[in-house]
Amino acid sequence: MRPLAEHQISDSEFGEYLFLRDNPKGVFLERWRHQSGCRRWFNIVRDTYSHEIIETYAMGATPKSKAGKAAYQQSWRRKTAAEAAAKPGKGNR
Amino acid sequence: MAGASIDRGIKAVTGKQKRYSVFSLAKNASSYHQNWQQAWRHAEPKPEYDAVIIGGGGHGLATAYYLASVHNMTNIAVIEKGWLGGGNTGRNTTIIRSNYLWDESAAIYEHALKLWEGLAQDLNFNIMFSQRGVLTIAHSEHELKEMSRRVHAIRLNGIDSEVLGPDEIAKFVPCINMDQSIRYPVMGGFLQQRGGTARHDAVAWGYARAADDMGVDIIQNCEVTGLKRSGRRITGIQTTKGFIKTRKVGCVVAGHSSLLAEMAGIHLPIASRPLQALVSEPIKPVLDTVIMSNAVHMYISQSDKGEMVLGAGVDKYNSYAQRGSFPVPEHMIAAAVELFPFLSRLRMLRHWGGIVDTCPDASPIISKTDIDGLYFNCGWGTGGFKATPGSGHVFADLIAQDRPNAIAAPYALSRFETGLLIDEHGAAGVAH
Repeated sequence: MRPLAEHQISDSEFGEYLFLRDNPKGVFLERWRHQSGCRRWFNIVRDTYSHEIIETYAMGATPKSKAGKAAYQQSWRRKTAAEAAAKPGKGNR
Repeated sequence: MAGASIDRGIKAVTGKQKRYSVFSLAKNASSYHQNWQQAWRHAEPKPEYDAVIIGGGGHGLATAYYLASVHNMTNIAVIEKGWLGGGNTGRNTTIIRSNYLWDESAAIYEHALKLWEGLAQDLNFNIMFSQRGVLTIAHSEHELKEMSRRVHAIRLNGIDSEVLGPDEIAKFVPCINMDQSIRYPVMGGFLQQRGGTARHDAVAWGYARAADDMGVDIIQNCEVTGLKRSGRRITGIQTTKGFIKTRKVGCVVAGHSSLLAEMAGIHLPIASRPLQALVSEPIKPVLDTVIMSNAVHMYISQSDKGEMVLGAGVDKYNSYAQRGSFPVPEHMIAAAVELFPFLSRLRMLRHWGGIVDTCPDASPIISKTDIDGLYFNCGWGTGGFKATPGSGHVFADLIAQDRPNAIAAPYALSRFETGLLIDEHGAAGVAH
């Protein structure tokens, strides 16, 4: 998520948000768009090695499958300053 | 790019290896080629090295070679998970050029091209480097104008580059379809005469043989499972063949860079994607240059065996599976058949994918990290092969001196903090 309070985080932390990626070999959380159909965006839990699609879920939701949940919770991004600054609240206008 | 001449290092094969020459060929022919020397040893890891290179592809082997030949570091090893050159080194379409837009890119790719030009002599190995020219086609008025702007920028950097009109292209590439009624007609293009191709396997083997001759241990079938450090200092690597103590580790593992970086708690701005290529059945010589087109998204050349070698852009999703989806080759073949209608009668012989490490600005990362003694050379994305000697040369310098030289400095990881990106999407994001 975009850090709303971008003035509160350092260049390095913003760079982390903007450029650094999760790039796992295995379970991966992605956002896809059904381009030739309903054209809606949706989330997907996919294995980047076997190409197995484990789960799809709506925008704004979180994954339900065990593998998806684990990937969601273990992502280092959850603990970054950028992620903290993305939450509406104190200091954000 | 005028400047001091490159320190190419000691000419290879001064040790125990016998030099390859027309005389050794004749001599071995008389014994039915049964007595050729082994090109490199099957080394087992020693307990400790001065430096370890992870990744036995072209870039990794080149790094080891220049560490030994230029920096006199011979107590080093190259660790390879599979076999030498079995990753992207053996899967690319072997195109070499240095006609990049930005100064930083021009510097590193031209550095590489200058090394390519003497590489077979340096290594005493026939890498089949062929400067057959690389011609990039324009399919619209606008593209042609943008190309001539790029040609001027490239020439200002002292790199050969010229714009060709339709008549010159028809003469230079007689088999191309010049019909102006096709969907993407050929309206012009730009040519780098010094560009061309090389035999990718030979590049890996040549570097391996030369490095081995200087005492570098090349260890295949050995996977790195962990990076050991004490505080902010690397102290060794854990592998499937045991622990190896070392104070310098250079990671050159392309598509698997993120996985290695995670072992050290480092996150990289890299997405690993499949890049596909294919070859047709071999035919007689019809195409003696390399043709690329950014607009229709395809590049083609003919190998010395006669196969037409085709490649295109990356698949749009992350993958480690070394295979891609069907729409990409379908698109690539459609574009190729329009430009070269005779291709429609050919059968496809082989088709494969490799995992490329794409960076947000389509430029590589050659960098120190927050951990002392841990270096990364990655992010070459779809166009790393052409840079092989230059990449190895500057990366060896970085590892040996622990500071980047002028060519490598712009490629530090810190550019993703400062925003000083080297945005090559326009010039290099598609075709390689």
